[in-house]
Formats: sequence, structure tokens, C-alpha cells
Amino acid sequence: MPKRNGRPLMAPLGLLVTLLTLGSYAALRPIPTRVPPDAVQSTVGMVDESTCAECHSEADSFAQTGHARTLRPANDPLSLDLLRQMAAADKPRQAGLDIEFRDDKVLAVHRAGDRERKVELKWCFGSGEHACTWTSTLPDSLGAIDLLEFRYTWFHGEGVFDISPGQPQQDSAGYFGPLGVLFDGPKARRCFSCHTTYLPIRDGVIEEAHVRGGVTCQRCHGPRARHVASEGEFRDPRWKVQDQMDAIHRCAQCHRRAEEQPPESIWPGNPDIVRFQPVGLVQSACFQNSAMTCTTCHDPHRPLADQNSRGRWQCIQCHDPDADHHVTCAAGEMDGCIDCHMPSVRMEAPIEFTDHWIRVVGATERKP
Amino acid sequence: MIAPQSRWGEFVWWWVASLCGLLSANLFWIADRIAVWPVRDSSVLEAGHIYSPPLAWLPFVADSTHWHYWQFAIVAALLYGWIACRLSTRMHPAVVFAYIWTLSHFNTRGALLGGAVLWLAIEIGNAMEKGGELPRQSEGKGEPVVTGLHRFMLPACVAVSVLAAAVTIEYGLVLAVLGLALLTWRIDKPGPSPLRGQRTFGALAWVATIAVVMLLVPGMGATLLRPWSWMWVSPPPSLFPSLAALWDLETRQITAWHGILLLFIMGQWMRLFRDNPPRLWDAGVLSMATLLVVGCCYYSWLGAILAAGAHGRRYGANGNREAGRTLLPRLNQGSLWAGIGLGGLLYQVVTNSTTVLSADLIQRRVTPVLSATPGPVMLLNLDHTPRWQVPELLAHFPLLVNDRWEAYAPWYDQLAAVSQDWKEWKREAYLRHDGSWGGYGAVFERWQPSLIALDAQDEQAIRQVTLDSNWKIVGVDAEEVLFGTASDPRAVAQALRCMSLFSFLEIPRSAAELDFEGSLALGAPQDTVRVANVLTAMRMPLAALRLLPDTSSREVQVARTLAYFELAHRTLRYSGHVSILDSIRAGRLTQELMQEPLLPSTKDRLDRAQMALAQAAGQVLELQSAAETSRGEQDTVRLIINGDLTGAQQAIDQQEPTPSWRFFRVLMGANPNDAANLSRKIAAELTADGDMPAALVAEFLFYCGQLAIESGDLAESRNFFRECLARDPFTPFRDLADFYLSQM
Repeated sequence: MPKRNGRPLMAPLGLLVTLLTLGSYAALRPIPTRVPPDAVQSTVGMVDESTCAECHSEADSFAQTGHARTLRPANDPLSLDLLRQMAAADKPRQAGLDIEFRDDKVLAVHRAGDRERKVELKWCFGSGEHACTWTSTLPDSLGAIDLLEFRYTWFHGEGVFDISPGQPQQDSAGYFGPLGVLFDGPKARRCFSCHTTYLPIRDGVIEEAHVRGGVTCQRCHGPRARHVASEGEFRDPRWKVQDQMDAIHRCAQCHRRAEEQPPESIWPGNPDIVRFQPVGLVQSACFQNSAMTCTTCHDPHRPLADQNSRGRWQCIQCHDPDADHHVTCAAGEMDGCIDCHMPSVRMEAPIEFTDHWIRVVGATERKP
Repeated sequence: MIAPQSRWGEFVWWWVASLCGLLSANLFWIADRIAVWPVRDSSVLEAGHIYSPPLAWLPFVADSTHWHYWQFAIVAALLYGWIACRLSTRMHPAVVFAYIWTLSHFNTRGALLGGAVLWLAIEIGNAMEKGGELPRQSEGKGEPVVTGLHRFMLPACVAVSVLAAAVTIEYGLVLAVLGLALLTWRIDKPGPSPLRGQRTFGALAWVATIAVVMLLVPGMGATLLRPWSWMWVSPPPSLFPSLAALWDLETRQITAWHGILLLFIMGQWMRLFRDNPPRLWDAGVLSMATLLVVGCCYYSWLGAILAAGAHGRRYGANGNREAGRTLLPRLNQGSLWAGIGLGGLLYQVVTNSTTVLSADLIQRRVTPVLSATPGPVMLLNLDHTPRWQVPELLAHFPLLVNDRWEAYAPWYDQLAAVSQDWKEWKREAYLRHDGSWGGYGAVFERWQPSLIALDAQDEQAIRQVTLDSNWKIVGVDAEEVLFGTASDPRAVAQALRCMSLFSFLEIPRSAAELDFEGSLALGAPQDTVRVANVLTAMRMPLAALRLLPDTSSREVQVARTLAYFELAHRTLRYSGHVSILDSIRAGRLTQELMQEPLLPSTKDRLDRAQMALAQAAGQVLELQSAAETSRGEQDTVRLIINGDLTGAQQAIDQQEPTPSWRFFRVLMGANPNDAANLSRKIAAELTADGDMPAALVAEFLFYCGQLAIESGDLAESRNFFRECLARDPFTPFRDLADFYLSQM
């Protein structure tokens, strides 16, 4: 009898080991990496923000800030009021535009000859402190949501309705051309992202019914459920501001970072970057030579109008005439610092932004 | 009596059968380039830390890593024939044939040489096992040849180990097989103690040498573990689909061939159970094979070879070669199965003769026109790595990261995150839920990619990146869509060429110069369907419809349906009016397709498209003045846009034959698949119907014009559109008709 090599139990043992290995792999294998979602697209760990006011007095006044009111439904009272004014305003009417109010819907209507075009306005972007722009939404063939930016915007500073910034003076082609400009999915998402605290998107579809408009507490401070549950003991280190530049970057998510602008656009006096406050601020000597951040001068928890944001109190923190070691105004001025060093700049549209590139503004500044 | 078949004769027939299997697996693309041995790694992010086998460094070898498929098939068939010869001693030739054809349909992933070395290692292992089973021929008459060969087994193991490390990155498998053989050899082999002591020392020396070399050569240790390290690497399925397990259905890696392979493996286990007693060697090899085939789709091919290696005891209980069963004992079995293989191949050639004969002339993949890129290529699907490793591309288009997960796994997380940001056009920094910063802009500043290769099936990403992003399409084929950056002037020039070509395909007109080269590769009919879906995602449905082959296969009909939906959306956005015709065509095809067995993802895609149309068109319908259309007509249109064509037909049938309802009837009778005849039919109905209101006539003519573009008849299309505008200057379709006319 030839000597055989083998063990009687090899087969079942081998199969058992294989199945155990596969089973262990299936059960224990690392979960495929899921990229952490955009903070604005997740409510995991979030809490009802009405609880914030129980401990934080800042929450009392926050609801009146521009951030809190930066997105609302088009049939919101403030929006409706503005739209009624638009219906009576000259410029939109001359362009053939009208606003109709039907049940709880707001319709923008364009009439030219026998042709009538209508779209339902669904959202009002902007707190109204600077401007309000209305939008509609339309699905594409993949189901993703495209945004229609309405043709006209309300500009608070001059109290007028004018063509929305960035839109051409002539109507675009197509049915919606006279009513506004269509943005594709990614652009629609970008618009909503900066005006919401929660933006539910699934497969490109914005679930409008569940959008939480406004930039509110947890948009900046992160999910706070655990913080509330621990009665304030727990503070998520991942959401803690790390340093001066990180503080700027928090605001710059929406107000734009300098390094994300074309380098050739960063020159003093460029009106195209004035509306992006962090871009100019980080160029400033004031920023570079101090621990200055956005919140040095602005309390985001209080309305701007309540803060004397144009007063000199911000400046004399470092440029106090009574302090010997401080550098003060060479022109001998004691007040009105903003007027010279952070003037307001008017855009092409009837809106002004304060130039945050703090400097001695030259009369002959031009593009290099 | 038929003389016993010679071994060489049997091998030749199995070689023929294997060759037929390999050719039938890639029938249209026998001139394709396929990697036969490993390519030297030239990726950017971990340059210098990846092990490339010495073979890949030899200059004359590096330029010939890729052979034409038919050359590969001839050589690979040698390996398959060898395997088949071994298997045919143990199992029915039909099983062997099925196995060979299954093996032919798996991607070797550049491991042909590695597979051959693996099989060599298996043969050595089986030889070492076999030596312990043969009876000594007679005592005192000298050692039998087989036992005598045992003194060469250890040197053979060492030689094959060195060979494996020199020629393949899958040498870990080879070493594992040899290690298993040495282990069982050590445990089970008879022999005097000095000999056993030598073997033990030799085996330990072998292990120690391997360990030292691993430590000295960077990356070699990681590559050794490659056949197992997929277990703890977990990239997102979309980034590396083939690394998923067979049960991960969302990656769609499992095929019918996997089913056959699993049956084969089950048969091998049953055979092992029947062996008396089974060998540790077989159990070990079969375990490894099962683990690889089931746990990692990437290793289907190598796992299949391993599975064939566990073919159990070569000799039956009485020491005789086990006779294979045969249904036709008078025929040479090998020639029978070679004949069947040849017949199968010929059948495929005959039924696809046009495509086969012209295959070499049809370009399948788009090669970047740019002569070189200033930066690396970023793949968003790492299974496409082999496409970029052909010698002529390798030097000029280095990859950022490739499929060598043993080295690049630490980068996969970041690559997945950046890929997702890029697809969603999230360039600027934003905070993620975990407090980290997202946005691809900063990462791209470091990586400086100049070409991005997106999977051609990711239609949502294609659409999202096509419009406003500063990354522009510079090439399209069935597998990938290439994007170049607008900051590269050469990419901009190529992107303009691409857009000229695509807009010509959308609305053909006289064009001075059009160049498909480097812009568009259509491939075989099944490839063309995928390209058509890319064009639909780019919002070019007419181009997609024109490219689709004139068949009614399921894939073609799905592509056609999606294009009709896109066309309906375009008409809605331009005119503010529902395209009844395209809504009916899309709805009818959707109804038909839903009766067939569809993948869940396809069903979901069609459902979403139907819902999106219903929602978009519904929004517009709701706002239209009631004076424009009757309530009944509006309800019928709502049924159509919701895809309820049965309900719409019933509603129409109940109506009087007024012009509006006659209009609906004509359109409801539309055959979705025949644009040319449909436009003629509608035109004929118009001619016959004298009292149709101008608005409806104009709408009919608009549809005819669009159908004429679809079928490629530009002159007819112009006539229809002009007639449309003449009949009703205020038709809601005038903007779109004007647009089409301006493009022609």
C-alpha cells in the first residue's frame, strides 16, 4: 500500500477555514471610506437651535442678523412686501415683468406681445440689508435641481430694483430668458450652500421642503447635540478655531478666500474683489501685523446696525491717539477712519460694499 | 480500437480550444493592446517607494509590455492548454472546456507571466506531493525517477521564487504556493532524517532569504502581501470597483462567468471531500483560491488558476490513471472540444461579421492628443489604470496614483474626497461635517493634475462638470471622458475641437474641418451605446440618438429613452411647452423596458427621469392659462408626462375627433424607434387633415423638423422649421426653431 500524505479532516477543515475567513472578512472588513459630507448637507449631531438661547444670550439677537435671514421662502412677509413693490416699480414693468400672487404662490410673469411666460418664485436670497434676489427651481433630465435666478434684484442701499448682478443686460434666449438665468446643479448647490444651515441633497436633488434657510448657530459652530446633552461641558475640538487664519477661513467659506481668487485680481482698488471681505482683509497691514480677525470689528451675533460698525472704536484698539506707541493718522484725523481707509465702493449694480483692504487709499490706484 | 491520444496531441487540441475561447472573449478587438508582464511604476505621488520587478526595468522589455490581443491569445492559450491537460486527467472534458472558456473571459490584469509562474509553482507543489504517494518500484533497485527528482525540489522552489519576484508583482501568491508545498512536504514526506534535516534547513534558509530581501528592497514587503492586503484596504467602491467582493452588487463586477467559476470551485471542494484522504496541499490551495475569487474580484483570474491547481490526487486508489468519462468514445476528446470551441468562435464571427472585419479600423479608445502633459493624469476609477500604462502613454502621461493598492492605499481616502469634490465642482474650501476642510482647489495646487479621466458611466458627474467648471472635455470614449484644465492652452484648443465636433454631431451642418482623432472614439456597437449616454449627459440628445445603432437591444433602448427625456427637457426649457412627442416616445419605451428584467440601477434611472419630466413639465403646465388649452387636454398631457400612456390613450379614445384630439391620436401612434418614417407619417397626416388650427400645425411641423435632424436629413429639417414659423409666427416653439435654423 503506498504511503499516503494527507489527513482525513483536511477537506472539511480547509472549507471551514475558508468560510470562516470569508465570513470574518465580510463582518470585520473596514467599511469602505465614506468621505465626510459637507457640513451643510448633514444634520447628524445637530440640535434644535432654540435650545441655544437657554444658555447663550447671543442667540436672542441673532435672529435679527443678516446671516439668520439670508434665505427665506418667496412667500415670506418681507419677500412679499418687496415683490409688491417690484410689481409697481418702473424698470421691471418696462421690461414686461409683473408679479402675480396666486394662493400661496408668487409668480413672476413676463409679457411681450401675445406671449406670456411664467415661473413660480420659490426662494428669496439675501437678508435685504444689501439686496434680495429671488429664484425658482427646475429639475433636469437626471432629476438634479437647476436654479433660475430671477432677472431683477432689490437693492436696499438705493431702494431700487435692477438687473441681478452678473446677468446680461439683454434677455437670454429661451422661454426663461426674460425671467432670469438658469444655473446648473453645482451652481445651484453653491448658491444654497452659503445661505443655509442645512441643505439636503440626494443624487443631485435638493429636497427643498427640508431646507433650513439662514446661516445659523450650527452652521458656524458645528453640530451641537453633544454639547447640549453635556450641558456645555463638551466642546468639539474639531470645530474649534485653530488660529487667526482659520478664523478668517471660517467666514471665507462663503465670503471667499484670497488664495481662491485669480492672483491677477488681487490689487488694491479692484472693485471685483471688494465684495469679498476676507480677500482684502488679509492683504491689510492691520491683519498681517496683529491678531485681527473678522470678529475683531464685527459681532456676528448682533445685527450690523446695532454695532456702530463704522465707528472708530475698532480702529483705536490698535491706533489709539492716547497711546504713545500706537501709530495714528498722519493727516491728524481723529474720527471717520473708515471713510478714508475702508471706503465704500459702488459696484456696477446699485450696491456698495465696504472695501476691507485697509490701507491709505491712493487716488491713482489701478490694475498693475 | 482507437489508439490512446498522445500527450502532445491532447495539448495541441486544448491549445486550439483555449485560443478559440480567448479570441471569442474579445472578438472585436484582437488588435487591442494588453499587458503581458508588469509595467514599471511611474506614478507621481509615491515615486521611488513602489516595487517594480526587475523585468520591468529592462529597456528592451519595458517597450514590449503590451502585445496585441491576438498575440497574447496565442501565448496565453499555451498556459490554458497546459492547465487543461492537467485537468482532463481528473475531470470530464466538458468541465475542462467550461473552465477554459471561463478563464478566457477574465481580465488577466497584466499577470499573464505571473499566472504562468504561478502554475509552474503549482506543478512543483503537486510534484512534491506526488512523490510521497508513488510506491517504490522495488526495494534495493535504486530510487525511482520520481523519488530521485525530489532532490531538485528545493532548488526548484528557490528558482521559481526568484523567477516570480523578478517577473511579476503577484509573487506573493507564488511564494505562498511554494511555501505550502514545502510545509506539506516537511510534514508528510518520508525519508531518512538527514535528508529531512537538509530539507528543513533549506526551507528555513529560503524563508530567511526572502525576509532579508524584503527588508532591503523598498516596497517589496508590501508587494509580497498584495494578494491579501486587499482585505484591509477599503477604498470607496466607485474609486476601485474591482477590489470589491463578489457579493458587492453595487459595483457590478459579478458576471455569469463568475457563476461558472464558482460552480467549478464547488466541484473542486466536492472532489476534495471525496479524496481519500484529502491532501493538506489541495485544501490549502483551494482555500486560497476560494478566498481570492469570492473576496476580491480583482483576483478572479489568478484565483481561477489556483482553483485548477487543487486537482487532487493524480492517481486513483489502484495507482492507475483515472479514465475520463466520454460520451463519444470513438472520437478524440481533445479534438471534439477544440471543434466545439472553433464552432463557437466561427458562429460569433459570422453573426458579427461586419464589426469583426472592420474592428481594426474602428478606434475604441481616445488617446490624448496632447503630446505630453505638464502634470499627471488623475484617474477617478483606478480600474482604468491598465489603459494608461501602454508604453506610448506611460512616458508622457504619468499617473498621479494607480492600482497598486499595497503602496497607494494611504492616498485613496484623499483621492476619493478630492474626486467627489471635483465631480460636484466644489473648488473652494468648505467645512466638512467632521470639521476638516474640503474643496479640491488646494489639493490640485499641490498635485497639479492636467488631465482627469472620469468613468464614462458617471453621467451625473459628466453633466455637473460639463457646464461651468474650468475643466473641459478633451476626449470621449466608451470607458472614459477626459477633462483638461482651462489653464492649459493646449487643453483649451483641444476642448474647442471637441466642442466643434460634438455640436456638429448634435446638429450636422457643413463644417470646414472636423477631426475625430483624439476627440471621440466610438468603438463597437456596445461601446457606441455608452458613448451615446455620455452625449445625453452632456445635453446633446440628438447626437446620442444619431450614434445609436439601429437595433432594439435593451441597452440601446435605454439609451434612446434617456435621450428622448433629455430632448423633452430641452424643448420645455426653450419653449415653455411640453414636447408631447418626446414625452410619448420616452414614456412608451419606458413602459416596454419596465416589462423586461432590468438592473435596479437602470430601473431607478428611468424612474427618476420620468419623475423629473413630470415635475418640470407639471410646474409649467400648472402656470399656463386655462384659456390656452382645455381641462381635458391638460389632464391628458399630465398623464403623458407622468408616463401613464394607457390612461392617456383611454382619455383620447373617449373624445370627439376634434383637431386637438386628432393631434393627440397621431402622436400617440408614434413608433419611438423610427425618426425618419415618423416625420413622414406626421407630415402625411398634416396634409390629409385640412382643418387643423395653425398652432397645432406649427407644433406638428416643429416635431417633424426635430425628427428630421434626428434622422440626419438637414434639408428636410430646415423646410419643416421654416414652415413651422410661417404657419404660426407666434408658436411657442419659435425660439427653439430659430436656434436650430441658426445652427444649420
